[in-house]
Amino acid sequence: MVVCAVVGVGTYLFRYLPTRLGAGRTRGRFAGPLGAFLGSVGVAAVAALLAASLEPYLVPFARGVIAAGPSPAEARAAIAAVLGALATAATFRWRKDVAVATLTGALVYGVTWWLT
Amino acid sequence: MELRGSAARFGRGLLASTPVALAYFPVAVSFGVAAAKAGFSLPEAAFMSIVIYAGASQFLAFALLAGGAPPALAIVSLLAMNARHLLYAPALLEGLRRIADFRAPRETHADVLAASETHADLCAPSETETNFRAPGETRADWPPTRWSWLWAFGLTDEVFASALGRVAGRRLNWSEAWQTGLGLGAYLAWVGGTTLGAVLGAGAFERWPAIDAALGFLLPALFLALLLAMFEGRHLAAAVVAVAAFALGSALASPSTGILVGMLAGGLAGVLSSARGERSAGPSAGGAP
Repeated sequence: MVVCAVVGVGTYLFRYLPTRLGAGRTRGRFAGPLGAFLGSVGVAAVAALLAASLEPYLVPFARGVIAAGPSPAEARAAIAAVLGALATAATFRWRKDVAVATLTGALVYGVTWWLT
Repeated sequence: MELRGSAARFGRGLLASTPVALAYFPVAVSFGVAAAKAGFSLPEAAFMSIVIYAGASQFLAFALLAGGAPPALAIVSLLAMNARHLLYAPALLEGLRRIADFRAPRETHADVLAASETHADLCAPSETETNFRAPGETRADWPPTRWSWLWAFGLTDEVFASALGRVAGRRLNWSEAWQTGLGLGAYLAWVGGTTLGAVLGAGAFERWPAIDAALGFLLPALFLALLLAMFEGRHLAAAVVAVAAFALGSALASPSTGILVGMLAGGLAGVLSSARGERSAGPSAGGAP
């Protein structure tokens, strides 16, 4: 609860404080290495989270391929994950909408998982 | 009169939040179910959504806290992840400031129409009212930030993207009341969905395994879509290094350590990549032969 409260207050300040600086003055304050770090750390965090969230779907299958062969459950999860990810990317490319792409990817994953 | 106008703009913002809210709701339900599975109580799950209100970092909070990460480390990691939000308000305000050039005083509407051939393209008829400055309003008053303490709370990735899309399209029916409505609709969907998911509990979809499986994949799908939305060519080094560092950290320690290491290594790679880009762009930018 304490962790959540501190992160919540910090996140709110991240969103609010720049509005008190004014539109023109904020540019210089977030320039240079700090600006580059802030501009990259979000992408890096999401990339790391994506890798972490895909790991349970893909790594057991890869290990199975290297060893005796993947189990049907591992193959099912990996195939559904790949198709779900492709559907997410294709939908985002088409609609440029994070929410619609997310829901489509999950739908394709669920349908593939059900059919295989 | 002004109050009624603000209420109408707030209502339009609430209506504009529908796509975001519709998308947030199932993801939030999934978050609530995941929270129950991870052993969080209903008040804890709801509190997290009410206070933090940042989807990706809330899922990261699960990974860190359930993985036994020290609270101080979890706080630093989560704040570092949400640090990108520092850039949202400046980007939005800067976009609004730029289109201020297209806002003409009401008194000279006819003059502006006559002088600007592109005016009709910039202002759809339904948006005319808000494309002109109110009497007494000057360009220096724009964009207004009097109520930013309220609407800035709801400036999430998707809400920011929705607002910026409207600004980038020069559809200037933006106001603080509209922005507040946009944020509130999305916020209610997020908190409501989390609460419903936590109430349904860990075994909510056990009877429908395909739905349970699909909800489980919402998280990687959300991260992939977010990555695609945020990604630009200059982020390539950060993303590649983050994934490689995650794999290393995860193999040597734990997935939560891998996420933290990946995030920081990727951020530093972004700094180095940016510095290299500036150095290589330096001579041409300076006009040297």
